[in-house]
Formats: sequence, structure tokens, C-alpha cells
Amino acid sequence: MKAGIKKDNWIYKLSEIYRKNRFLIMFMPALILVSFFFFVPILSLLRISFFKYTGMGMFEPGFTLENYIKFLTDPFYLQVIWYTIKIAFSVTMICIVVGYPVAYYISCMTGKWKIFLLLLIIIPLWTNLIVRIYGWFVILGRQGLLNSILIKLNLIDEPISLVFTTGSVVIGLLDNVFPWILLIMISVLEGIEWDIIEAARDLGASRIKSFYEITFKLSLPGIAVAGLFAFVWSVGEYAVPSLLGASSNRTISIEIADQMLNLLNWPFGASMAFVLFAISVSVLLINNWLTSRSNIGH
Amino acid sequence: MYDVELIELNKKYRNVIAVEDVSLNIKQGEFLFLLGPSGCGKTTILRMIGGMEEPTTGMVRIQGEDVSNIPPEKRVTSTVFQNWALFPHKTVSENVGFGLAMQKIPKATIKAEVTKYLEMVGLADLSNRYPNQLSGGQKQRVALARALIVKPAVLLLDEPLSALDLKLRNQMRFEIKRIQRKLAVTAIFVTHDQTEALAMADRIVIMNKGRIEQIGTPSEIYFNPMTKFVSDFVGEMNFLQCKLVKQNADTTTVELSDNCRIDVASTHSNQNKTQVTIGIRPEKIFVKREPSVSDGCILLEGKLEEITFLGQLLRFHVTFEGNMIIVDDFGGVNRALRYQESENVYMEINPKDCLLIPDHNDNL
Repeated sequence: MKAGIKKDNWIYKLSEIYRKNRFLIMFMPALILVSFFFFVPILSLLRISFFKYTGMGMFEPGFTLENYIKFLTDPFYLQVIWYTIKIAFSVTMICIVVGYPVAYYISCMTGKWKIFLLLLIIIPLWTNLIVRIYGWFVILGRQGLLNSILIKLNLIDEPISLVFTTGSVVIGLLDNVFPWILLIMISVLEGIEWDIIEAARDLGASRIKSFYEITFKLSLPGIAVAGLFAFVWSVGEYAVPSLLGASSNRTISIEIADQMLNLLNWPFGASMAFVLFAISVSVLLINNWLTSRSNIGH
Repeated sequence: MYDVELIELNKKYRNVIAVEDVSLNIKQGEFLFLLGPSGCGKTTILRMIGGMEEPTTGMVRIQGEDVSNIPPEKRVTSTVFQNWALFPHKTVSENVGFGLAMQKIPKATIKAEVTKYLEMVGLADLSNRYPNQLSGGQKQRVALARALIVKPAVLLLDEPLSALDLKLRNQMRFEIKRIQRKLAVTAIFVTHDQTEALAMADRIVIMNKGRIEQIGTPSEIYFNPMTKFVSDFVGEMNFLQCKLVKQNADTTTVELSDNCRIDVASTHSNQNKTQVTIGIRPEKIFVKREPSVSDGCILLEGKLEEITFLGQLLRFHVTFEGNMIIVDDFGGVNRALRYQESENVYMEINPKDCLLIPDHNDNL
């Protein structure tokens, strides 16, 4: 301590408080923002999910599990949950299986072509989501591009319905998620140092073996994150399934919106929202568990 | 028969020539150094021997067999990479055992071998650690054990010590050399650090701009540099432009300054030249206050510009007829004399220590 500054000086005390708590103080603005605009609404929604619905958009405070029990036992809603998970899982798998080779190829490239391909991935993301969804109507609709090509090629006699199917929902979701997954996987694969692969080759691993032992194994944690991202996004997506999906095949998001906006049954809608949240969290936990168990991440 | 033969090796990247007409033979058990500044092509040569790079033209032969088109995994070479390139997701023993695992050797055998090699590099108790839990020196040892366990005919080392601090580097030099001797493995070591090369090498290849400047033992390189580049790159060298007076068969007479002629050994022909370059090492010059001269020596008068204390030596910067001459004094005698900057001093030189420096190496 410098001479002349007394320890009981209030400026000294204040600076000590700052010095000891400076990380907390710096963290404050973000913490306040997140608390008020995220945790408070979420927690009040959680409370509402245990309220009892009394009809006509009214509900009375209390604690009941009936909303959750209804959602998790009614065959109709179980089917909705299953359908949602199925779609999200398909999107995730397609993203990874189709995306990995593409990402690997791009990550190995250098120079102009790499920038060109990266732009091809990024530019669609600048387009509005709704515009892109309606773009699929132009391609998949009864009068659409794909139908007229199929007719021209004599593969079908008359237009088949391609929109409002599970397939169109998956395509719409892929359109949304796939570019991001590609970008994540490219950055993961780019992070693997080339000399490590060379070292494996040098020690007697063939091209394929070194790919498996080094590139693939080292990219697994990153791929798991990409998969998690794809799943959580797809499982909660609202716009795509509601616009491109069939009215008979409903996802959890559509049900939530329906309950809350049309039927005004907030307790039931809220409980569904938390089941959706629980699905995402459990996938996250399973993911973490698998990743740590397979000894990756070192 | 030679273990490694490089025959007119060339490597071009688009318009850049990385390696030009390199021919070299390396004996079994030899510790050969490729020494040169960065970008001189030394690493490219190593990578062509290891199979990571294909020569544009020319041939690489290992133990008599042309391996130019053989991939790295099928070559009897193994490499210690510059930043060690350890597998971050594998433990120390998995890293070291990798090469054997690729040969589908039984697990028990691998385990025994891994223990043996980890003991050799002194890391037996760290076998379950991951690379990110190791220090630089430990990573270095893992990389060495991993390269040696496959019993390579040729060990390639690509600046393996450049990321270590000075103390550790000196220690690892000694250890690498000890292990190389013990296993009698042919080793090729790439470095830009001349001290490393002088300390460890059986033979040094000096490279510049993709070409070989000189091949020789450390003392040959140091005492008889064949080109200006070599004499400048290895150790310190003072250069003096002199007038050529007379060229005889084994001596050349040059004029250092007015009335100061010396005879130096002719290492090459300098016919049709009027100017030649003389080189002299800083430690071969003696600074004096009095103009007294020993037998057979000459005396040059200069002005002392700067004295630098470098621990084991004092370094003088003396100007002589417009040239800055570096003099290293290891003796310590002169330290007691307390030289002053900008005083006049005499430099005593023995003509036998002067080297006639050719512009090119005519032998290569």
C-alpha cells in the first residue's frame, strides 16, 4: 500500500470492494437483463403451468399436475410429442450424415473456391425465413417446379402433393438448420491440425485409418454439439411445421400456439412448453454424457 | 550402401522453387543436420524423405529402394514434428503405442514396448496423462518415443526443440543424441539453430534458397566455410574487401590496407579478379592498446566504438577503414584494462586465421 493512503479512507474502501467483486460487477448488466427478460417470464410461465384452467381463458392459482398428466397420457398428445421428436431426429441425422462430408470437403479447401462455397452457405441465411418457406411452395406445390419436371420426365401422370407433408416439413427445417450445422462442422474440422493427421500417416495409418482415428474421433464432440443444435432448433420450430406441415400432423409448438392463442388455455400451453423444454434439456444431458463417456473432449 | 540417397531432388510450388537439385547420401547410423534460414527448403527435403511431400523431379531412395511414390505410412521413416503433433484425444501411452497399434500387434506386446520406450525417455509415470496435461519438454519426449517405437530405419526431426526454452533445449539436445547413438538409428535433423547443429551433428548440410551450400563435419563447416553464406550463417564472421595482389598455387597475396599485405591459403581460383573477400572470426582477433606485434602477425589500427558485455565474453565493435569489425574477447585480460569507447586500439591478426571466402561453392 502506498504511503499516505489510510486504510479507513472511504475511497480506499470502495476501491477494495470493486477490486474484490469486479467480475460480479462487470457481470451485473447482463445478469439484470437476463433475469428480467428471461428468468422472470419463464418462471411465471412455470407457475402458470401448475394452475387450473377454468374455461374461457380464465385460470385459478393453485398447484395441480393435471395439465402435465393430460399432455403426457392422452394418446393424441403423445402422438404429437412422438411426431415432433421424430421430425427433429430425422433433421438432425440428415444434417450430420449429409453435412459431414460436405463440411470435411470444404474444410480441406483453401483460397477462392472455399470462400465461394462458404458464401453459398451463408447467403441463404440473409433471406427472410417466411420468404424461404414460401419459396418451397413454388418448388413443391402442385403447379410447382418439381411436379412439372416429374411430369415432363413421365415419372408421374398427374401432380402429386408434396407440400403439407412430413417431407416438406423436414425439407423446410433442413433449409433453416443445415447452413448453420455446416458452418459449425466446418469450424470444428478446420480446428483439427493438419500435422496431427500427417503424424498418424507417418506412423503407419492409411488414409482411411488416419481419417477415422484422428479426424473423425477429434471431430466427434463438435459433431455432437452440431447435432444438439439441430435437434433443439427443429424440436421447437414453429413457423416451418405450421406453414409447410399437414393440419393432421401437429407438432408441440403448433399445439402450444393453438392452446395459448386460440383456446386461451394458458396453463395447458405452459405445461406443454415445459415438456418441450425438458425434452431439449434431456437431449443436452444425454449428449454430454455420451461425449464425456467416450473419452472425448481432452 | 547408404541409408538415404537423394538424387537430384527438385520441388516446385507453382512459381516458387523450394528445393533445387539436391543430391545427398546419408550413411547408416549417421546424425545428419539440415541447417539453414527459414524458407531455405530444409523442411521440404525432410517432408520428401518422410513422404509427406512428393518431389517434382528427382528420387528419394531409402535403403536402396526408390520410395518416391510410396505413401508415408509404408515408409520406414518416422518423424518428430515441429510442434510435436501429439494426438490430443489419446493418452501418453496411446500416443506412443499408436504406430504399433497400426501394425495390429497384440495389445500385451504394445503395452510392454510402450513401457520400455517411456522409460527410455523418462516418462514412465505419466502414461495415463493427456497431452494437454504435459509440459513442453514432456510433450517433446512423448513425440520422440512415439517416433522411435516403430523402430524406424530413418528418424526425421523437424525443428523439434525450437519451442522449448534454452535450458531445456540444451538438455534435450544431449538426450536426443544419446538415444540416437544408443539405437544407432540414422537421423536427419532440421534446424535453423547453428549451435544445435554444431553441438549434435556428425555432418551438417548448409542450405540456402533451396540449394546446398556446403556439406561437412561441424568443424569443417566452422573452420573452412566454402561460401560467404556459410561463413556468415555459421558463427560470426568479419568480412574485409581486399585487393588481390598475386595468386600462387597454395597462397594468395592480398592487400588489406596500404602497406599491409598478407598471404592467405588459396582455397579456390581467383583469376581475373581484382577484389577478393577475406573472412576472420571475431575470436581470432586480439585487441591491444600498444602497437606491439607477435611473430608472423599483423596489426590493424581502428577506433573502438562499442563494448558489449555478453557474460562469458566481451564483444568489441571496432571501425577499421570504414568496416565494422567484431572482436570477441573470451580471455578477460582486457576486461581489467578498462577500455574506453571511442579510443584508438590495435587489432592483432594472424594471417593463418584469415580465410579467403569464395562467392560460390565450386565443388557443388
